[in-house]
Amino acid sequence: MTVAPTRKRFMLPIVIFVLLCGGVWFWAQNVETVLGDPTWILGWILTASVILPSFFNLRKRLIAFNFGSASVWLTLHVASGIAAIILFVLHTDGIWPTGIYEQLMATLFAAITLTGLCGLWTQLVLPRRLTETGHEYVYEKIPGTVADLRDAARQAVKTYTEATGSELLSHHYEKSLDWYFARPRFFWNNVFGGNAAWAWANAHMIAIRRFADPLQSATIDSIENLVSTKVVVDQHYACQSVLKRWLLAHVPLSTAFLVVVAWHIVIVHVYAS
Amino acid sequence: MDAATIDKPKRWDTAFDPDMSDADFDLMMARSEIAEVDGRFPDSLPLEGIVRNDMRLVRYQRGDIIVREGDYGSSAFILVEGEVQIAKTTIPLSELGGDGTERQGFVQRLGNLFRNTSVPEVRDVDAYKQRASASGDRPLGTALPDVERAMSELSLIPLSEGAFFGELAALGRTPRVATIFASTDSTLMEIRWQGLRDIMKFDEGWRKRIDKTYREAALEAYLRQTDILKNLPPDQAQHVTDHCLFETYGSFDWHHDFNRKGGQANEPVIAHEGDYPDGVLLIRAGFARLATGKGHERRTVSYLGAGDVFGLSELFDVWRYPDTADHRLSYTLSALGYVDVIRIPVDVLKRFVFETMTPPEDHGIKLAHRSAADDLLMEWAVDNRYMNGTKTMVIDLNSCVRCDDCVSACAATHGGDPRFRREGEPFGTWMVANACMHCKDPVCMVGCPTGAIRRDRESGSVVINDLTCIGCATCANSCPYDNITMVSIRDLAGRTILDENGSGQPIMKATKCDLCTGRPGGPACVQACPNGSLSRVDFRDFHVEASS
Repeated sequence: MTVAPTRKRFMLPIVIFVLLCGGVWFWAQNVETVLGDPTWILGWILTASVILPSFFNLRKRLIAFNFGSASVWLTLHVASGIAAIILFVLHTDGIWPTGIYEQLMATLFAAITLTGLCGLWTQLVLPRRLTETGHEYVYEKIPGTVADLRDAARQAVKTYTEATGSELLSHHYEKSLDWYFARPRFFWNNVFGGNAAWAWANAHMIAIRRFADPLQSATIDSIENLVSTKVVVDQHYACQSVLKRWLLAHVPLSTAFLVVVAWHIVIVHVYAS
Repeated sequence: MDAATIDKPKRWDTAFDPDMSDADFDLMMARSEIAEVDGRFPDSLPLEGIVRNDMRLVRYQRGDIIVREGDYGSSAFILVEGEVQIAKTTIPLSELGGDGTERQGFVQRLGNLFRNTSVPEVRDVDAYKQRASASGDRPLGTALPDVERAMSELSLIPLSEGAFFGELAALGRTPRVATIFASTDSTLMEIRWQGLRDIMKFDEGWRKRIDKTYREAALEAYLRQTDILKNLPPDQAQHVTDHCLFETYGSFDWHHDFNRKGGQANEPVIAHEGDYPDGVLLIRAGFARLATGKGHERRTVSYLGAGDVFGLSELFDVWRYPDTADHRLSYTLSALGYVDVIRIPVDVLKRFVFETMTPPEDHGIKLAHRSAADDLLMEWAVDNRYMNGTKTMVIDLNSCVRCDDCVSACAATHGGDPRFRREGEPFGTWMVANACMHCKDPVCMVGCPTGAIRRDRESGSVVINDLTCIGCATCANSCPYDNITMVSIRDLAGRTILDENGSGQPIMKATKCDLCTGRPGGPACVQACPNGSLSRVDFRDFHVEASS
């Protein structure tokens, strides 16, 4: 068996691909020194470094065939994607293009790069953050869990109100914590590892606790337990949402970029010939 | 407040055959195998009670399969009337209710891409209608499809009235080594393992008979495979074999207790830390917890499985350094469920074994370098009985991006229906998911009436033949890990398939992970994980690697 590889597994392939890019740069410099034009070759190498990562998506769909481990494919995908950034700069000489079509192509490339790097960050950082919560929630079941927590909180408040006839807690709950329990909250704060949810909920519990009689304190304690669960559930919801959804930007952008590149190659070859 | 009361559950609340007639009971009591039993049975466990509750008369038609090669049984048989045949040659799986798994070809894999549907659990109804049936329209798997051909073509050993068979597999929880079928209409007494164990305990005749069979048939060959005895000359090995003692701890039906109590399930102690050992214990089947007392709680150090030895380093040290060595056992050994033990007495070891063996490893030295936290993973695995798995699905939560590519890949490989759930028991950074663990002790395989669930002869994975599964849920109810799911099946149009002859109820099938048997490259879930977070592990290897 093999225990899961660490995130360091990306380092060696990235270093190799970057060194290869360095070799390409050195070659391009030499070609330019003798008044040659490396752009053609650079363009084709760049195309290859863009197409290679796209095969990863194809491999996912052809699961019936044995095309090797997806983790190897992802490592190559990341390494060649980073190489593509360097090759793109070499291919364009670091100049932002002036033509509209070329600007569209450059914008798409920038968008792919940005979403790819964001995706890599989420894959390297967010799983650990979820593990550190000490609980696991299946993403598709989270709405049900949130609904259960909301019902439990409302029931606790209702029980207290019916028992005492006091509306203090129910009024406060309706104006503050009910908003929190209604659905997942503090989405981006949870994505970036903040603690705003707990701070917010705690402030509202402190606000009511100072008026509390013993029975009310017990109710607030039970709501506090529900809040601590909801904090973790919301963390899972936010982080798992980002982990699942970033591909919804990266993959369509990549597809669009490949289409644009294909037409770019056709045009370049037509005019060159 | 008054407590609700019920009768305390007793061992014989559920008889092997609750509908046994008095005539059948009298017939069994009159048989010489029972009538000649002269052991002194306790009042709480009379022989009549064992016969009434742990035995039954089973009548087979010609061609009926009594035991299948490779099945895990929990009972033995005595032939009362008729004739049965032991098949010396292996009968094809297709005739026994199994389905030979073949490596999938290119075309088949290409077809898989288009066979997946959004309708769950779709089956080809025609395949069920066209499946071969056994002779006399009995379900395939319960009888041979062509008994005449089997009689003429197979190499057979006939057994006649009074033959006793199946006891080694029943007592040792090992697979049946041959298929046995009825060549004439036959009547057999079947005795479940609990009754067999008790009669052996109190009747010397039965005990000697079964011990003799075991020693002759299996023990010497088994001992010759163990590290400590494999180099012994044949005559000395024979001495060791003759002096071994057999012991059994715990219960075959451990999963019932475990399902109720989880980590608090009963664990009968085999040997206590601090006691003076009188021999080495060789685990023949099952699992045992190796623990040492720390504070108020035990600390699990490891677990022992088939082939492992307990007490050897202590006895060896005493033999080598009689004046200075500590005679006492360093650990407590307790049965995790069911454990079959061979005890090799110390004087036998001194005479034949110690001289020729290499000094055993001292676990104490290794333990001294480990913190209590290092053993938490093992403690958790043993408490949850994960050590039973040979291919346990373990996910590293620190790198798992919760993408469910593993589930998608599993579904894509199984007609659109995933065969596991990415849920389970987390511990630290690890999670054991709800996927079949392909257990060493596959309790799910005990009691399958058609042999539909079986261990693949090549890969060792536990697989279910969908065509012969009758949806009885015996396997699903037995699985201690809730890893077998019963599903109602649909036809290609998406309609639920109902029982047309009987109740009109939906046709159910048992489903579970088959480890993608036949798929090149192994399990699709492992291959599909983009971060290599998902592994299929044997927990002992996993523990070593994860701890390091």
